[in-house]
Amino acid sequence: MLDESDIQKLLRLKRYEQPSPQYFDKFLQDFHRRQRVELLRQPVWKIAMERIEAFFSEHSMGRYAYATATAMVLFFAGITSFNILNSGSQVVAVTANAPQQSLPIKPQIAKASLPDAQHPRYVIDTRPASYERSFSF
Amino acid sequence: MYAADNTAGNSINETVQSVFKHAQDAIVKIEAVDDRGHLCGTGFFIDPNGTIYTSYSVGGESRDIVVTLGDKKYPATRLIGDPRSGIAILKVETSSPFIPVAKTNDLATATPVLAIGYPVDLPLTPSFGVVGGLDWNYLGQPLVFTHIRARVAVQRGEGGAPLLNLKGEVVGIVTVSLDYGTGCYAFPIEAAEKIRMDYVRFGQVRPGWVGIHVNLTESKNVAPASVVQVDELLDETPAAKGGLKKGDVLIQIGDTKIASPQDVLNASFFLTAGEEVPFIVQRGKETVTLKVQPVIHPDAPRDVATFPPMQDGIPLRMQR
Repeated sequence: MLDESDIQKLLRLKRYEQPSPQYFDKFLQDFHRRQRVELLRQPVWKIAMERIEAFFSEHSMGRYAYATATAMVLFFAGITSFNILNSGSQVVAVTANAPQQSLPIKPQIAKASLPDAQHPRYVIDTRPASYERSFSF
Repeated sequence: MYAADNTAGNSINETVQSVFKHAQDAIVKIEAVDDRGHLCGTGFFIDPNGTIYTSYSVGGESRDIVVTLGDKKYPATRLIGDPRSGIAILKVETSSPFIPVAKTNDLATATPVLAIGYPVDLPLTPSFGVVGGLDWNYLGQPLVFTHIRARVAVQRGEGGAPLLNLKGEVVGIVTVSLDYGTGCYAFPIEAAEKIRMDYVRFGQVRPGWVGIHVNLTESKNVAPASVVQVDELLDETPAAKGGLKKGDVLIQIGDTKIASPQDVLNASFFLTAGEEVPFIVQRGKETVTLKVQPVIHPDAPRDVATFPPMQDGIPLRMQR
């Protein structure tokens, strides 16, 4: 059985057995990494639903308000998708009818494929080439 | 006072414009191809036979070199590409206007100078400034020869441009831009001329090497004009064969009196492999003159290093 002085000696010894400060930093980094990995295991829709639920629960909204808000989000998303699809078909139509040489994309492609002679390297050094290795000759 | 200042201003104005006007016909745009693609730089004629000086980065390793002179383009061949000095010498088969050579010994800090080159895709452009200093090292590392540091703004494309004094003579070749183009280093024309003369005489550059390492002298009992001594001397080198010894204090190499490490760098640059050169040294209390015959410098371009061995010295003949 240890007496009080033995315990004190042991405690003094144990004081030097603490891990280094880097250990705690590493531990924290590792913890955050594991947390992120765990989070990413869930499907995206589930994460989104959790976020939405958390948002509404924080703002203490009622069940009907929650349903109404969800319906409105879906409604606006539908309208936006419809508009995007319509404008895409217009672009296709205009491109098909327009004369080919007036397309703005053509000159860009031509410029990018110019030979290297059009983009020379203008030369001047930034350090002397004429270094001597030492005072040996 | 105002009138005097104004007169001086007009004089500088006229002089700089005159230098630009007289030199511009001898300055060329150089285009070439290297492993990284198409490049552009500047060069200038140094004689009426179409010989061009430029920087090594423009003409040292590139191929398909084309020189634009006025509204005409000429193919150019490379005579010399010398990475040790950072310059290249090209040749165009045409008669050409040229810029006369100055003696850079006359240069001093604050001497006005003018660089003229082709920045990016712009026309020939002058840039005016002064000599900021004559440096023998940069960022703590020795240069192969004392360089002219000019407070002259240069841009990309002006590598190989001539640096002129106000007499219209070339004093250096712009090889390096400093601090985002706010200044530049020019390789002195007298050193470039040594390389050109090597080519004229031997058909190649022949930098000399004698095989010694020098350091600041530690002894106090030496000639006051010398601070450099032989620190290390390799066996079987020209220096050893010529009789130099460790501890010899260098007083003169060839025609160059040694007063500083800078003088040693400059004197060693003018060594030519195979050409005997006198070394005047102080050994104890004696002054000794020794004859040393350098061999090819280990840093010489590869084509020079493969030249017939020079260790024993071969008779030199003018090949022109």
